[in-house]
Amino acid sequence: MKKLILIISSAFLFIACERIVEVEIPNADPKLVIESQITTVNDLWRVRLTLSQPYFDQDSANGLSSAVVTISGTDGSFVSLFHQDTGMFVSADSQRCMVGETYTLTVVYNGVTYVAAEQTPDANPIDTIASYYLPDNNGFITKGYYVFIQGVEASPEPGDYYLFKAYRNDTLKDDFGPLLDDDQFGSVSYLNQNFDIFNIVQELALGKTPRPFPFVVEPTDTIRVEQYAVNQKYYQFLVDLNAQQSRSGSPFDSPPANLNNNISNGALGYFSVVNKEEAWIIVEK
Amino acid sequence: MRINILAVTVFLSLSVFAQKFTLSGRVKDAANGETLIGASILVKGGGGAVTNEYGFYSITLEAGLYEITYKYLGYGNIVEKVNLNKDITRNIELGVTSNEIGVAVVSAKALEKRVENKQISVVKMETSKIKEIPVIFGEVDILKTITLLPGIQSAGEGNSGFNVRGGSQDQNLILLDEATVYNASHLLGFFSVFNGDAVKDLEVYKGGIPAKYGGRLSSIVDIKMRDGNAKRYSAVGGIGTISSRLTLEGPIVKDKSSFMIAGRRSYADVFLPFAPDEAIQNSKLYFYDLNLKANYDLSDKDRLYVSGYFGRDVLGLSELFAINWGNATATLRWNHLVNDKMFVNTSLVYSNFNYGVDIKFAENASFGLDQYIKDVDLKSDWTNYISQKSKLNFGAQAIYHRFNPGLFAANNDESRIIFNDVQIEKRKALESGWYVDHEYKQSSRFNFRYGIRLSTFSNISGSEYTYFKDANYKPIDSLTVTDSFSGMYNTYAGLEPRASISYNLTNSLAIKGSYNRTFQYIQQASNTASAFPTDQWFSVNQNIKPQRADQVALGLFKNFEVKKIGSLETSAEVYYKWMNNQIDYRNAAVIAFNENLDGELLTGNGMAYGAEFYVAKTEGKSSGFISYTWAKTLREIQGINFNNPYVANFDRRHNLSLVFTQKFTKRLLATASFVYSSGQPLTTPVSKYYYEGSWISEYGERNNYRVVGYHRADLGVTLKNKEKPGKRLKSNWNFSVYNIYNRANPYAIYFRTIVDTDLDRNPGAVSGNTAAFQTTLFRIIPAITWNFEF
Repeated sequence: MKKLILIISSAFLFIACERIVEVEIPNADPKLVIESQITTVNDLWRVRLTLSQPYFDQDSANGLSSAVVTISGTDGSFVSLFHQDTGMFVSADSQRCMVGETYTLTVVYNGVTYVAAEQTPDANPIDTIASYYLPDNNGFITKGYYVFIQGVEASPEPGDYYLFKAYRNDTLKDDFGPLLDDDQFGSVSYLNQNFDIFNIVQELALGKTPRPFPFVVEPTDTIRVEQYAVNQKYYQFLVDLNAQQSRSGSPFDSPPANLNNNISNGALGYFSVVNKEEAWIIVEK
Repeated sequence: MRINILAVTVFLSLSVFAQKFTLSGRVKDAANGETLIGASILVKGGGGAVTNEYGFYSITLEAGLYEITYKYLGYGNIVEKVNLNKDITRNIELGVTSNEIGVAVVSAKALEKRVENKQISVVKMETSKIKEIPVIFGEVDILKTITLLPGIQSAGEGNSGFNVRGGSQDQNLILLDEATVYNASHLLGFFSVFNGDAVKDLEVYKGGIPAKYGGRLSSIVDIKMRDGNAKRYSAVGGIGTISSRLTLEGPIVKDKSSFMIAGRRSYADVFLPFAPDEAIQNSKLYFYDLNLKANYDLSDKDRLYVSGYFGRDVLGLSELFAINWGNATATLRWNHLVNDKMFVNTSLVYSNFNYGVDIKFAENASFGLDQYIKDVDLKSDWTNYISQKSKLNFGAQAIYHRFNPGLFAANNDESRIIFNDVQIEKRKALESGWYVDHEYKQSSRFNFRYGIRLSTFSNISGSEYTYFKDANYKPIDSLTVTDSFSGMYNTYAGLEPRASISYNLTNSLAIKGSYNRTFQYIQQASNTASAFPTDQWFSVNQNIKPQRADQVALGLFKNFEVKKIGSLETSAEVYYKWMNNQIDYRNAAVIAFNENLDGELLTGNGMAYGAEFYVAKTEGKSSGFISYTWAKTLREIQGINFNNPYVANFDRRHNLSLVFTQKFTKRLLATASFVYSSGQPLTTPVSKYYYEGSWISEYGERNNYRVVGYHRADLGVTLKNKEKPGKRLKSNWNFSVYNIYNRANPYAIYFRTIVDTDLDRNPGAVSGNTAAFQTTLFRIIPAITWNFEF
């Protein structure tokens, strides 16, 4: 249904004549922006600090260098991050988060302490990744090769939230916006739990299709899929972010709203702690 | 014995002289038999009456000889001598005064009459006035015209409705021959759904709403259609570059019964090339409407009417996507004279407003979303003409509402295989109203009207949701509790007192005041200043309580005689309205196709106040008016704007209209109009920040910014063709231009990042920068129409 609204909104745009105008709008004081995501995969931990700026100030965001940035975990870990360049703070060594532990980010900037915390969600690795050929145009989907995955939700109870990223030959495919899915009303469809992946041809013949990633692929493409299990708050943040980016001036836009984050003292951005799993495939005929 | 007989005789004769009798009947147009609404019946020596909406009048006087003058604006007077020694029925036919455009001499007495008759906060337009209103696109547009008047603001371009005294668009009750019209505009506000050829009379109440009307907070627009020529067949119509229309009417049985069929259709093809965007050429944008009417005099005391209206709009982008909406209404009415002093009208109405979206991606991906609101309405309105001074109105109404908040279904067999139907639970409700109202003319100086209405509302058999909301007032889905009810539940009842007073300080100066309380039980949820025709209508329920408004208004009305200009009518009115249980969407509300829409709504209070000024010159070769309104409307709702009051989405501080008509010769007439209104409020970003590769806006207070003002001038010229003596065909040509200086008035402004596809239309723009985008709907639009009357 959300996709429906996106399409209607964009169609509406065509009816009217649209152009850029000059407007004078009020400017708020700059606020600290914290951008950081830490995952269960071993990697350097990064936190980017910038300042918000007036809406029509077209310079790129100015990175901050003088701040004290640390991340601590309930597993007893304590990591300091050091400024590298353009506001990017990096840990000295690679780290990873542990499932069930809560990690707290602390940033001291200009005498103010900003705190954000999240718990690492549980997730199962992606069981299988496969491709199949859809012979006929089928509603939204044109014919061709598609890739889908199969996995199991972290918990049979509702409360699992996922973000998927799919790359075709190392290019992120996000034409339809972020691929978000949860199990509030039924199972996570991208995980295709009810599809018999070992008998693809028979399933297709019965008229059942999996939920693939929404872009056509070709044989010899390398398709990489990242599964992020995220917290509900971050999931809502991503949903609201997408709604904001999809505004088109049509009557279907909801009243504008600010994103809710998990950082204290009015800082913007988000500190997300996610469980990341990966799988890849080279498409065959 | 003799003395006794004498005493008895004297006594009897005395009582004969003290006896009162009633003079009643109908006043009609001599040429076509149309009943005349609001015609005056003046009794020489003092007193009089006015015809009601069915052309009926009733005056009770002491027995005696009277000279009665029947008159109506635009028609010649008829004077009758009546020997009132019993109840008399006198039906009168008035003839239209000649079409000579001369300078009419208006006597002082007539001036006074107009001041006296003007009710506070009401706009009344009789037939002759309707024909005179400015013509844009070759035809008379009722809604466009009333939005030129003080207190009534057009919601802006592309908007299908209007705002009256700070109320939202769904707070106007629009009646067409007693049937409720839910969407009053075609083509996103460009044309009204009322075919000017078919309209006989119009009354708009901005305040001082009589107890007879209820169900909406802000205004009542009561439109009566013509009955149809009862004397001979005739045709009226026009063929134009934007739309065409045809009205056929005639007698079924001469002087007893007539019919009328009026149809209109527009063609977008001619209209769209004026829009600069190429993609628009593939769009569909058209409307059609059909008015049907028939009436029959069953007897002297009974008249039956059948009327119907069917209209539809289609807005589409190639085959991919289309929005359509339309009203269909059918009414059966029965006028009955219980006796010479008691008139009753009973109506049975069916009304259906449905709106939907259709999408077709492929043969097997064709589906639509349909919504409707269907009403069955039974009402009976009684008027007792007690005496010349006193009139009692009473009656009752019951409406059975059915809502379909959304059915999502495949449009063809191929698609049905893939898409399952999803139906949001349909809703039913019963609304009723009971009123009694007294109009009393204490003297020629002082008259007042007071009444009370009792309204009730109940939901019928459905589910109710109890929400538990998070800190952002967003319902937590897992905690929502569903309860099912059967039968009538959630019954609300409210008393609505109404009163208005009028006092003539002098012969040409009157002061008037009014108070009314109104309740509203069904409403439309809109998220922007513009109520889109497909915004959902829903009824009150456990979570959304009935809206209530209290309004007080005070006004001064004065007529002037100014040398070299002529007579001027002026008025100044101030009002204050308190509203509660006003709804608005929470921030980031999920609006489309949401079963739990009431969970996205927050309620609070509203305040509206303002001052309206009006100066008009109605007679002579040059005529026109100036209307200015200063108005403010606020909302205060927990959860919005940090709980502070904020201006409502349709708040526009200044509104100015200037209309000028010049009759150059008998055949040539031109009208120019200019409108200005302050821009609509907007919630803008106050800063931006960078996150994961894109700019995100940080928004400030709700409606913190005001868009630039809206202004526009239109021009229309009508040239009547020479009339051939003996030939019935009369015709004229109308040339008009909308938005004559081609101003790009903003329809919506929103903020986002510039992408490559924007660069063509915006030279100098840089991809990746953030900018404000404005969409405009209508630039300059010329039109030519040929109108005829046969």
